[in-house]
Amino acid sequence: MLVKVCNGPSAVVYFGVMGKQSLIKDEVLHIAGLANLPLSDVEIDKFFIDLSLILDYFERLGEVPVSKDLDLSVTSEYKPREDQPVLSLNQEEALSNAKSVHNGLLEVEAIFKE
Amino acid sequence: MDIDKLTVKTALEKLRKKEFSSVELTKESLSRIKEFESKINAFITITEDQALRDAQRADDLISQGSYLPLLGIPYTLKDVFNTKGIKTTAGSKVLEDFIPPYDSTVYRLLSESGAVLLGKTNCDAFGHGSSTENSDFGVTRNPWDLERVAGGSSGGSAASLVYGGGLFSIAEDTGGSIRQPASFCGVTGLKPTYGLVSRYGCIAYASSLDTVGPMGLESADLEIIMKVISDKDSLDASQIEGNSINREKIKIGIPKEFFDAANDSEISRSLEETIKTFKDLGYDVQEVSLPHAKYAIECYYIIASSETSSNLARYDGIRFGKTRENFNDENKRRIMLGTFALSAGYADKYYYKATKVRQLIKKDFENAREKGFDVFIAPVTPTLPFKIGEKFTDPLQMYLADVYTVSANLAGIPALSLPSRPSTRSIPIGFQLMGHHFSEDTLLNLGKKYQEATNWHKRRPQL
Repeated sequence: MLVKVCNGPSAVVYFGVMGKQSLIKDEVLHIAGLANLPLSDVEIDKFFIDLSLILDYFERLGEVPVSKDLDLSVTSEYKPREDQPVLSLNQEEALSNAKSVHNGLLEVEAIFKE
Repeated sequence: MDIDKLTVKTALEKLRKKEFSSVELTKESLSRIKEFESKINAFITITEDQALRDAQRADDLISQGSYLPLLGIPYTLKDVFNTKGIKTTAGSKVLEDFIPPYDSTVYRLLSESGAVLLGKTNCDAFGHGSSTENSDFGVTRNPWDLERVAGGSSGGSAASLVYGGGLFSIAEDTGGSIRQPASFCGVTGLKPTYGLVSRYGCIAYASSLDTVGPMGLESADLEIIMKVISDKDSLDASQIEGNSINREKIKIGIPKEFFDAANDSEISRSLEETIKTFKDLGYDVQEVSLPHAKYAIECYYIIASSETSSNLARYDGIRFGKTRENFNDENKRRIMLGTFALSAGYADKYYYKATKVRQLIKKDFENAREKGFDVFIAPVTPTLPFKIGEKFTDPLQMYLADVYTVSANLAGIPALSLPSRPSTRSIPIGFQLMGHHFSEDTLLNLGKKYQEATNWHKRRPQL
């Protein structure tokens, strides 16, 4: 469980009880970067609080003893189909929802800068 | 025509006998939708013109003596199934102008079986929610009490079905999204075995948990619909075939972990009566333990968030849809949670640990099977449908509301949600029957027996 101490909207501090603190605020920025999510400062504060509460609850999972050799597969047997080429969307259909098209190709932001 | 009393089964008979036409039935459904839509908000798109054309074609085929399994039956689709030329949003602003260039398999199968699409129903964006409060197109209200949620994520499907907007709906269940709204609105819903129904063209939430299934007004209808939608599809590599074992003498387990003292007392009372009904019907009902079920919520939310952070990475605003700032708060929360659970330094503690605990949850059901248990009876939710706004600002409380539905998704087993005795104020209460992999026939048969013995599934709200 977490104790919430609010000192105004921008100064939110969390103390983990019983030594638990699943998340630090810098990590929220890091995760947002990994997830390619443009977040505002207000959102960063908000998700820090939300995720801290949720992750602290999830600490319960640590109670469960699991053996190292436990199977990690999540589905039962499944057989991929034969890899045979079949007709798919034509170019016009494939581009029909694109916001920016140039000469029948998708237009994207430059990846490399000069 | 009293559409309130019509089921798929009775409507098929009446259409064949020409007691009414598919056009009349479709018009009646559309007029219900028009009458109640401003109160309920169950739809994102209504496909009236196409529905009337399809209904006319169905009538022509009926006149020619053609037989198709759902010929002329009006229905709705949760707005997560691609429908060529018809906007498909997944309840999200990211896809608010997305017009799919191809059909999902489930929609193709329903069209080929003669069913008539009325519209695409409201849902929490990308399935992220248990109340449709996370839909970017407004909340769906519960037809039994407009102040309460219809449930989620498939709230629009359940709410429209119970007021007569179609005779069945096809939805998607990743952690309870068919069973919970079915329970909150008083309809019958089936989450099939993982891999039984093709997901080709279904907008992904969490790929190791997502299942496609029907909601209907009674168990017998779901049997008809399942025959249509569980057809083999080479386009979904995760589709699997399996056999169910139909045993003569069914033993029903009451998993004690699902009967928490904190459950709403009206739900407990309703469930006790349901258990008595099964005993009176002659079934062997005994207590059983599924010891890891109490970890299902954290296990589910770690796995589902991890998978959704990966699935939703495709939304970059380039090939289709809008850019990532258009995700709503709950989408962002789950993407962040999942990205964290998969990130270097934390994956062992969260993602891999959850994956292992998932195996233990699955094993609990297998152990019970070895002890002779075929079916498990449990509540669908710990509370009655909650008030709109009640849990919206507390994401953890919202997650905990899924405590009884997520186990079936983690184990990949089928589960059927059925209406039981409602609350004293007439709010629907449901229960679920969970079975072993591919035991849909057993569950639907038990559902039919229960619905022959009770009339709860025949109740309709006074709107």
